[in-house]
Order: sequence, then structure tokens, then C-alpha cells
Amino acid sequence: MAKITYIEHDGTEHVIDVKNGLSVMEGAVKNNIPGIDADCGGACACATCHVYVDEAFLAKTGTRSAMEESMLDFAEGVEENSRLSCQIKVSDDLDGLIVRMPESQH
Amino acid sequence: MRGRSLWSARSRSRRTSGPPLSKAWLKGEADADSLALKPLEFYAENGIDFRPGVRAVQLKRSDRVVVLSDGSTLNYDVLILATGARAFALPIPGADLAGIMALRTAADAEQLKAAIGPGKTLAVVGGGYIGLEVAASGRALGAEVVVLEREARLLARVACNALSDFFRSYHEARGVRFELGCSVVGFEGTDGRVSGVKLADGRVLPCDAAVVGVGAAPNDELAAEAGLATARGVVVDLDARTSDPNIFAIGDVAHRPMPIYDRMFRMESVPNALEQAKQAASAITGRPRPAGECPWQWSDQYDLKLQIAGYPFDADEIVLRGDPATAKFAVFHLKGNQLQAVEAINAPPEFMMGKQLILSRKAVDKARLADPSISMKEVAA
Ligand SMILES: Cc1cc2nc3c(=O)[nH]c(=O)nc-3n(C[C@H](O)[C@H](O)[C@H](O)COP(=O)(O)OP(=O)(O)OC[C@H]3O[C@@H](n4cnc5c(N)ncnc54)[C@H](O)[C@@H]3O)c2cc1C
Ligand code: FES
Repeated sequence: MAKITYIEHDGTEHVIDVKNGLSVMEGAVKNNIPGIDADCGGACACATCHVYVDEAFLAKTGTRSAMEESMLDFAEGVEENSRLSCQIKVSDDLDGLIVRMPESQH
Repeated sequence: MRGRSLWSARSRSRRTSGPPLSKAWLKGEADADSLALKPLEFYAENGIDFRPGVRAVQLKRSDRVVVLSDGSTLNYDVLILATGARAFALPIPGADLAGIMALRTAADAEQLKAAIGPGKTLAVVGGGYIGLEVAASGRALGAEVVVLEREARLLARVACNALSDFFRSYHEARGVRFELGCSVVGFEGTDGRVSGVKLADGRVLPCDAAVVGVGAAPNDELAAEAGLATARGVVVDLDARTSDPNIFAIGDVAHRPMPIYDRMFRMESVPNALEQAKQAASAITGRPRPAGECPWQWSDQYDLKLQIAGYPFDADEIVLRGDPATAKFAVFHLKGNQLQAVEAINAPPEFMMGKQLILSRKAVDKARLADPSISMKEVAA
């Protein structure tokens, strides 16, 4: 279990307990948090689950796979700390994680 | 103002998503929680009266009433039909034996997972994308897998020869056997359980379970019986509205216009259902119609990520980009110099730029498209 703070583009914060094994994307979608579309349901096929990972957690959330890297290349407003949230698996290690959502996923 | 909405679903369980059934779920990589679309609390918290196990059996449009299978009725101001499609069953002897399933529900997938494993044989009837995904998952679970296909090649309805050949050799190299150009005429069983698939040439291929993936038909009977316009699905406009202004139809059940292809058709994909859901929601709440999207789909088999954008309608030329031997390539379908569709294997840039080009209808330079040393961003510039 990890407490994750999802921050919408307009600053609205949602703090959610997410079960280990789910992805950061699933934590948002299943709790109806707006801002992550996840059209492909986590298959790393759509790039509509883009988030910015808080700098303090960059190391813990791991590195982008080649597939994720090349999907992200086509998302809007990509930064150093951009990730596809369906590719980040939740574990106790991620307790306290903060992710911010971009203005739009399309 | 927030209206109340009511969902009714024929299946007894929570709403689950289709795609993982043939993929991660089958391989044991997803659990029931990740398969459910939303937790049960979600419905109550959002003013949605979710009634599992209840079926809509009749539509009385003149009274704006839906009759339910428990005998009760429901009044509506606006009605959305999202009844999906159901798998075609094969009208052949033995098709109702235990161990034969169409992968439509989580229960099907559970049954299949329990029936196969090392030392067991899985027969897959139908060499389309779902059949191939099931075949890959079957191998991952350790089962022997044989795929039976009526046509002379795999994916005959949807893919070009190059792609069919690629998938065939990729699966064969991972132990899947194919019987192409064969006709399944029946199933044989012992004690009520399937034990073999019978072919027109007289052979019987032994199996412990069989998955039938031979296409689906829209659940449009409710609409048709109520006199709504149907044509291989419920006919809708660009707002997902049916011939009755108070009724919308979205997803697999809808026969919808696709302006970029200048025609109407029915699609079976999650992005299509999502796009139409947005169209209907915008129309109902009086918001502007959302911009048109390029239809797309994906399929996961082994370590392959297949992403498909568009449909190859009226295409007169195929351009291959990259080498299939490297399992990283894309097949482009063009009509003149406009892109109609792309099938991208482990090639996200080709897919993502392809999607944009299909929607923009921009002219494409074929020679540059065929040259992987020129980036897709440059090709599309
Ligand atoms: C094994 C499998 C793999 C797939 N893989 C992919 C993929 O990789 N990518 C992709 O994009 N798409 C995939 N699809 C297709 C995708 O699942 C569908 O396009 C999508 O689910 C369509 O959504 P829908 O809401 O229109 O219909 P459905 O999801 O079929 O939902 C319809 C619901 O309506 C209920 N219902 C029907 N009639 C009634 C009635 N009279 N009263 C009450 N309830 C009723 C049904 O029980 C069902 O719950 C796959 C499908 C399957 C089966
Ligand atoms: S949900 Fe589609 S890429 Fe993450």
C-alpha cells in the first residue's frame, strides 16, 4: 500500500491509498480522479496516462522502458520527469509519491 | 445539476474490460480487481444505480420506458444503448460441450485458465487477433496450442500478406501449430467435456479445451424490435444519436459514420466506445461535438506490441517500413498519397504519426515513408 497524491493541472489534490501491484494509472482511474485518460487500459499503447513525477521520487519510480520512451515522445509537454503512469507499479516504496497531471492527455 | 443514471448489465459480476481477458488476465498477470472497470463504491458515490444481473428486455419508446427482466420498468428522458456485441457461436455438433468457450467474460477466462496448462492442449478456432492473443497466452501457460483457421492465411480479413506471414512465423517459432484453410465441422466429447475438434477432411484433433473466436454480432435486438433504424448495428449520427432523438447508441453495438472514410460501419474497440461515449455525453449536456478521432486498436502477443490505426478501406498501395525479420516494422495502407491505415509492430512512432496523418488526410511522400532512416516526424512534417 502507498499513499499517492495526484495533483490535477488546476492544482486540485487527491490523496489516495493505492494497493501494491496496481499501477499509478490504475490508482487514479479506479478512484475516478480526473486528468488521466488511460485509453488503452495500461498497455503502453496510447500515451494518455502522462504524469510528472515529483523529483524526490524519480529514482524510486524507476526508468522508462524503450517502448514507454518512444510513446512519450508523442505526448504534449514532455519533461525530464514525465512518465506514463501505467508503467509505474505501486509498492510500499512509493508511499508518499506525488504526481502531477498535464493540462491535457490528447 | 446531476441527473441519475442507471446501468443494468446482463452479467452477474461487475463490469469488466474485454482486452485483458485474452492477454494479462489469462496469463495470470492481472487480478479481478484490476479487471473490474470501477470499484463497486464508485457507482453509488456517483449517483449511478448499478443493477448487476438485470437485463433490459423491451423498449417502449412511445412511453419512454424500458422493461427489465425482473419485471420492473424504468422511465427515461435520455437512453443510451451500450449493449455491445456477442461472440458468434458455431452452429455445429458438440458446440455446447463443456470446455468450449468464447472469451467474452471473466468467467470464460477463469474456466479456460483452469482447463489448460502444461501437458494440456488448447484448440483455438479462428486466426484473428483475439485467437492469436489467446494462442500466445496459452503458450505462456505451458499448453500445447493449435489454431484452426478457415482462410488460407491468418488475419485474412484485416491484415495484408506480409503481416499474416509475420504473425504465422512468430507464433510457429514459439510452438503454436496452425491448420490453415481448414473447416471445423464439429466437436467430440467424453463425459460431456470436449476432447477433440473434428475437421471436414475427417481428422479429429485432440484437445482439452477450445476457444472459439470467429467474430461477433451486435446486440441490437432491443433497438430493432423498438423500430430504431439498424444496419448490422444501431444506426447513429456523429452525436451517437439513433433515429430516436432521445436514444443514443455507443460502442460495439453502434453502426456509426466515419467521415474520414466517407462511410458508416461498426467497430469493436475500446477507443471507439470511448469516443462515442464522449459524443453522446457532449450532445446530451449541450456541449460542442468533440473533434473526430482516428480509430485505433492494439494487440499484445508475446513481446510484440501491435498498434493499428485506421482501416485500410479503398487502399491501393502498401508501403513497408522497416524489416519484419527484426520484429520492428510498420505496414502503411495508402489510397493515392493519403494514409488510410497503419499496422505498427513494436513501432510506436509509426503508429502515433500514422494516426495523425490518417486524420489530417495530408499527402504523404511514399519514398520517404518507406525509408526508416528518415524519422516519422520528418516524414509527416
Ligand atoms: C477477448 C477480447 C479482447 C479484446 N481486445 C481488445 C483490444 O486489445 N483492444 C481494443 O480496443 N478492444 C478489444 N476488445 C474489444 C472491446 O472489449 C470492445 O470493443 C469494448 O468492450 C466495447 O464496449 P461496449 O461498452 O460497446 O460493449 P461491452 O463491453 O461488450 O459491454 C456491453 C454490456 O452490455 C450488457 N448487455 C447486453 N445486452 C443487455 C441487455 N439487454 N440488458 C442489460 N445489459 C445488457 C453486456 O452484458 C455487457 O456487460 C476485445 C474484446 C474481447 C472480447
Ligand atoms: S494507459 Fe495507455 S499508455 Fe498508459
